[in-house]
Amino acid sequence: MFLRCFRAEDRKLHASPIWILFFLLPVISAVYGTFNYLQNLGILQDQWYSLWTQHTLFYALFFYPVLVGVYAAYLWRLEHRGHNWNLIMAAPVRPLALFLAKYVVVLKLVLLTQLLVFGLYVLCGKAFAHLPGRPPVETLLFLLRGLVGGQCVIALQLVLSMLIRSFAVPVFIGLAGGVAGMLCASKGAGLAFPYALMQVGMNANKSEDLLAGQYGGFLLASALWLALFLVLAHLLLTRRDVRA
Amino acid sequence: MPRALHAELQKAHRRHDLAVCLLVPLVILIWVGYSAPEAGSSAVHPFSALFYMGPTIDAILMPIGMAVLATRLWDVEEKGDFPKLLYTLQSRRSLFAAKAVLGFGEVLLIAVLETAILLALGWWKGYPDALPAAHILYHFVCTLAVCVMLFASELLLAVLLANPLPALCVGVTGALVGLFSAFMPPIVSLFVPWGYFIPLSSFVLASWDADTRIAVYGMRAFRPLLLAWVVVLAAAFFAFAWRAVREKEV
Amino acid sequence: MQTVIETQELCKVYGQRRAVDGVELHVPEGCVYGFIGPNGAGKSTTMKMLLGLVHPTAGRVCLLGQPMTERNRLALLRQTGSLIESPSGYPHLTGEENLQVVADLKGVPRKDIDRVLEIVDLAGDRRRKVGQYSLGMRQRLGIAMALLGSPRLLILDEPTNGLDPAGIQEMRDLLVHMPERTGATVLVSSHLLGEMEQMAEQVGIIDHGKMLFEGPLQALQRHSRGSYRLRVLQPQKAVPALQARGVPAKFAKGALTLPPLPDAALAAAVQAVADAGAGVVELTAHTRSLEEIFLSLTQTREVK
Repeated sequence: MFLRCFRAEDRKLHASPIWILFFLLPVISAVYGTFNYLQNLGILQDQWYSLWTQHTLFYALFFYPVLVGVYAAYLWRLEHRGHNWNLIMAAPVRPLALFLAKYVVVLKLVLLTQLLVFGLYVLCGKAFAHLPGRPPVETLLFLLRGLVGGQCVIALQLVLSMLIRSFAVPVFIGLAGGVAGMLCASKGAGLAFPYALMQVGMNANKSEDLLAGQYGGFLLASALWLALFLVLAHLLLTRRDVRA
Repeated sequence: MPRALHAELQKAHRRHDLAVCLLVPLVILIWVGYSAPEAGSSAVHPFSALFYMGPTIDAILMPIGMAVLATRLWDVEEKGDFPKLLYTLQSRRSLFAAKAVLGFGEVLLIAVLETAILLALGWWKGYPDALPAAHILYHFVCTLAVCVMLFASELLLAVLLANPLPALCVGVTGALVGLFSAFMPPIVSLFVPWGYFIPLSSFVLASWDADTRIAVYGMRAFRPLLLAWVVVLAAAFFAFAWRAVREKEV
Repeated sequence: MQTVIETQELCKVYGQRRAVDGVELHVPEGCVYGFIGPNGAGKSTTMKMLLGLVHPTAGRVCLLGQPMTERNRLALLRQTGSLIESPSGYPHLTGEENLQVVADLKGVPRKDIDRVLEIVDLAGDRRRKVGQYSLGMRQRLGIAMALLGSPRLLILDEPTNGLDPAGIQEMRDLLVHMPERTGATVLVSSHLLGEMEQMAEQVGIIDHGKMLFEGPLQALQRHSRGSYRLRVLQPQKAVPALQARGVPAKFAKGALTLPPLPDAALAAAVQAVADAGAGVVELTAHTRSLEEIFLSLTQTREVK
């Protein structure tokens, strides 16, 4: 059942304009990041690590949660238009399977986005910044950590887009969340807030590993937030009468 | 026009437009509130520091915020399948004019709150330096002008494409590009409309000493030409949006 | 009698496609005019041109006796009510609030809202959000919007769409009696030919952008006479008698089928059959339904 849902949700993205944003944001980040790195070689002396922070700083702080918000809003938009809600709720699938299918599709998209960011990072590092050797393995780790931290935000944005019929408002809330996460992380409460988890995971702000020794807490926090949002989604889907 | 405006206000009922208008300044309040330097700390002229921060924050929040406002303003008609009925009840001009007035009102509210928040925070933190009224007014006018320009561009996209997704994506991309333009050579920022908050700003980071970590903020001259250009852009976007509404076949 | 709607050589071309090709409509005052055509015939496009929503490529529209221009368009439309394609309705507002928006724009007093809600039977649901309405309720709300202000002219595109049989009948009663109750003229387009038959006095049939027929419904029915069914005791005696008179008759299912004939010829033929001793038992006229007429018209594209 879940697989059917997943395939259905996945198909919605084919030939959708979302792909433009998917490419555009990482490419712009990479271009500016590389440019900025090359302009400030005096200050940025950690080579691969510095390039990483330049590429991912603003992306991780603001535009990663916004991108997740856009993906989530897009998947729910088709239900909110017309009377598709009725169609969905009457289909012989458990509502939570539906939600999970969307979650997995967005997760896949975000993974691809992260890989694109990484790919561009390596490309720019070798081709434009002429950095020696290979990028440190940790950057790939940061990337995957960013996904692990971000997956609870995916669930949150999906819940928000499910509740709020507007397309744009949950995206702005994602941005606001990114800002709040940035402030939380700077005050040391990085593990407490879902948006902060994705930023801390990506380690965009510093060259040293922010999560050293805190992996347990990080994973636990991430899992707990995900569980909370899934429970919330389940409650909302089963208790509320479908308002077409 | 009063009748059309009254109809617009009715349509805004229960759309929680006011909540969205207040959300943007709220985020600004939290962000600036956390980041504002303490009086007597390493920031010399902290009030200037506050007004220096404002435009950068605006460059991130406003493109998306304006996209949200503009798409909601127009999308309500598409969702209700109303254009074909509205065009038999009122002229397209009065429909557009009413929406433009309501939209301007919302943008004005946000710009007023933005400036008010900066002033209030500085007062609350007890900053010793006083800012000349002319600079504060200039800041308000520039913020308003750029926000109106962004709003008009998003409204144009929303009308042309009848779908909020592209307009929002432009806002998101614009925010990213605008933010980055602040870190590029100054000439680049002149070509990035979404980031115009920053080159227009009359507050600068005069110097930053890496050793003592003391940052000195100061002021610089106004940029009336750039401001005029922003107003021209805003008018152009509104004109194109007006034409799009006029020509749209139902 | 004044015509409330008149079009002259109305054309609309989209690229290569002529959606509407030289349509001449004449809708007399105080009647119910049925605008019939298959899907894609150009009905909606024509109706949109009547309301000025779409600019004609060529031709003229005269509404309420005046040629419609940009200047007088809104003033003329203030006296009309319309429902084109799908009904309008802001989902986040209640039915009553939606009507308030339309009433205010039309300059109609709020009291009229109660009246139209009663007419379309939505009074009980007026405080519910339109987003929660069923399709039929949305349709009725759209009609209510068109009825606000008791307009002189109603232009309705498939008004019975989505309504249940009871609703369809109510709509039919409402529209049929509208001219006598309020003096309004009603232009209705529909696929439900059975309904049209009971509602419309005047019909206009359009296909592929061209008008095939326009005139009273009875004229159309008269034009397209049906065949006759003659039941006799001894068909073998009847057939030669008919053949002698030059009437080709077919025998099937225990009865003879006679082709359409003018009254005098029919009477003479029956007399001949009776004289031949065949024993006339039953003569019934098979009047072609509007549907049959419509299908034959749109397939052969001529008025017989």
